[in-house]
Amino acid sequence: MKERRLSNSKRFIIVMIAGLAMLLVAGLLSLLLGAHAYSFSDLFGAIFNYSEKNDAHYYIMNTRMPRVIADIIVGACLSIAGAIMQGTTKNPMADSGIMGISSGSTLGVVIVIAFIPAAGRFGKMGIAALGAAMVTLLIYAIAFAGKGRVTPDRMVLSGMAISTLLTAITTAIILKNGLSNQMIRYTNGSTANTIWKDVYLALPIFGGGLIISLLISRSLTVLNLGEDVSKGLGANVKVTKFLSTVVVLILSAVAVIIIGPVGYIGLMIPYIARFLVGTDYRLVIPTCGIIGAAFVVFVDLIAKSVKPGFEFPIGLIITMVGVPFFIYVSRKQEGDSFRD
Amino acid sequence: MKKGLMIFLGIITCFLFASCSNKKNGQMVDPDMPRLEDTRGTEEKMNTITTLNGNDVEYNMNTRKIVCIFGSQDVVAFGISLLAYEGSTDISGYEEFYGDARQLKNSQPFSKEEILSYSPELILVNEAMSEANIKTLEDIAPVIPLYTDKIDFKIRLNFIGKIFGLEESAQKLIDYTDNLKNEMLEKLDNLGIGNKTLTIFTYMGGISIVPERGWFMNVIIYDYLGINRLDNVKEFMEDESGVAYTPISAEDLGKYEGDLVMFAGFDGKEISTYVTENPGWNRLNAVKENRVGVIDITPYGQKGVILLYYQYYQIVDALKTAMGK
Repeated sequence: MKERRLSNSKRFIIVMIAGLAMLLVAGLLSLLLGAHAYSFSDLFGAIFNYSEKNDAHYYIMNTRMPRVIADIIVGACLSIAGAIMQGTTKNPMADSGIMGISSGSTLGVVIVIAFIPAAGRFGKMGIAALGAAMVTLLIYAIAFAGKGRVTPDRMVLSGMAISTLLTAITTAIILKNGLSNQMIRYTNGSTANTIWKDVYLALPIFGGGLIISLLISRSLTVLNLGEDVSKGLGANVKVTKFLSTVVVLILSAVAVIIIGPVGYIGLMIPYIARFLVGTDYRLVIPTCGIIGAAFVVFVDLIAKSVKPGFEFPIGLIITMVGVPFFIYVSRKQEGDSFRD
Repeated sequence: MKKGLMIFLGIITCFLFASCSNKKNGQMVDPDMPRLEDTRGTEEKMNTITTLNGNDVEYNMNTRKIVCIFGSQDVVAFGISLLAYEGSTDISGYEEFYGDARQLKNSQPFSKEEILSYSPELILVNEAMSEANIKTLEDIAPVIPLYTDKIDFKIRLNFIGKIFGLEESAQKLIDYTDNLKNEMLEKLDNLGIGNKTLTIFTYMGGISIVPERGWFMNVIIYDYLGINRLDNVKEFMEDESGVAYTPISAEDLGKYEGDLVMFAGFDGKEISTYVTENPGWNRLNAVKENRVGVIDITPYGQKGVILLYYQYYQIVDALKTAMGK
């Protein structure tokens, strides 16, 4: 057991270094490439000797920089939320997108835009979180309403059903209120319109969510051993589950506000993270944060390189990768993703 | 728990229905537009017309029992009253032309049962309607398609005049459209637009340029009024390979900026904060100099004599702003 733990720790250090390197490279390329290719001197100039009149400086600092940071926040948020969901439900297919939590947030955003247009960005985020909370409650309600024990499959199916229902309601509100153009960014997923205001708003909430995630990571690992064992080890299962739910809601809402209801990141990244560093959530959560961030920055780099000068929705690329992965995971569900 | 679930679903459903309100546009009717009266007789007068699809259709020229699935904005200008008009049309501001006509609940696709409920004697449809759909409607009443894509009011109005034997009325309306066009051209002359280029941006999940097809303001601005545009803007607008509404990178917006800039909003005459906070948008010269003309794009989704004045009015007003006047 000790040998394996050490092995996982070593792997964790290697994965973190490699992940950071990937994130750095993807982030750097994202700052340099896009509609126009800028040089390193443009980048350094923009950071250390900024001039508003210089186009390269202006766009690096006002469009590319907030976009890369938004990608990092979104990637980390969705991956960590996915990992926590998978840990608490013991379901490797749990993901805020697939389980419908993102669709709850999206419905919240649509309601704000349609009925409370004066609400600020913070208001939008609050209602998005509320939408996510209601969906979570609903998923549990439906899953527990049936006969027999609550299985991971039943949770996923109830999540998918809720997601379909809320997507239909969202679409109806969009069409009835002529909001199609405003909502396209949420339905297709893109960080192209991100500005510093979004980053300033998301960063502290993301930071808070990250800290709580790390604080409960040990309890999550213990919870994974089973509720009886956890209680035997002195863990407070109810508090851990409550905090986990809160963190998932906050992180999902932050991500939806920035990028829209993008699924599969929270499915793929935690799966890969567990494969690399094992099931100790003290290692899984930071790994998810780094790999998730690097993944989204990299995919966004592809999205803006498909047709330079135009914006391709990042959500479409992620879905193209995510669906085969989902099929793979569902086939391997009895496999080793939760191995010790 | 099941009870709670039902209550939640009930609340969601109520919220959905509560949202079913339509936005009204502050449209304007030209006070100088001729208000025509329906001068047709009341007796049955059968006529045969060769339609735009080449079919011969026999119908009562004097019928008052008309359902219009398309093009009501031209038909009502003749003073012709309708039983029902297309559901996609927002008549707020134009109620005086529609009288007691009812709005169809279903237009695209239409509902045969709904149309049957009006017991029409004539159905006016879109030129692009499929033969199969026309045949379905012919079970109810004779069907005549109206011009869809023709932008020449002379052709459009003369055809409607021919259908109802109201050629004189058609001529009055054609004269009105010509006069209106000349009046607007004069106003533009006074603005001194000359050879300046104009770009019309819009927002559709990102800042983009309004595509050529489907939006009548392009016809008014670039064809009727003869305003110039940049080559790359023309190329973007005419590209039908799926580029329409593709968000343009903030860094490239400047490449498409003409001498004059207009913004066509889908939410009325407002520029979304997603646009005003876009760094690329704020880099445009017109934005820096506070001379972006704004129009509401929705009235340009349809063509019709009664709409024409407001369509021109908005454009001239926006061009004044774009010229910094």
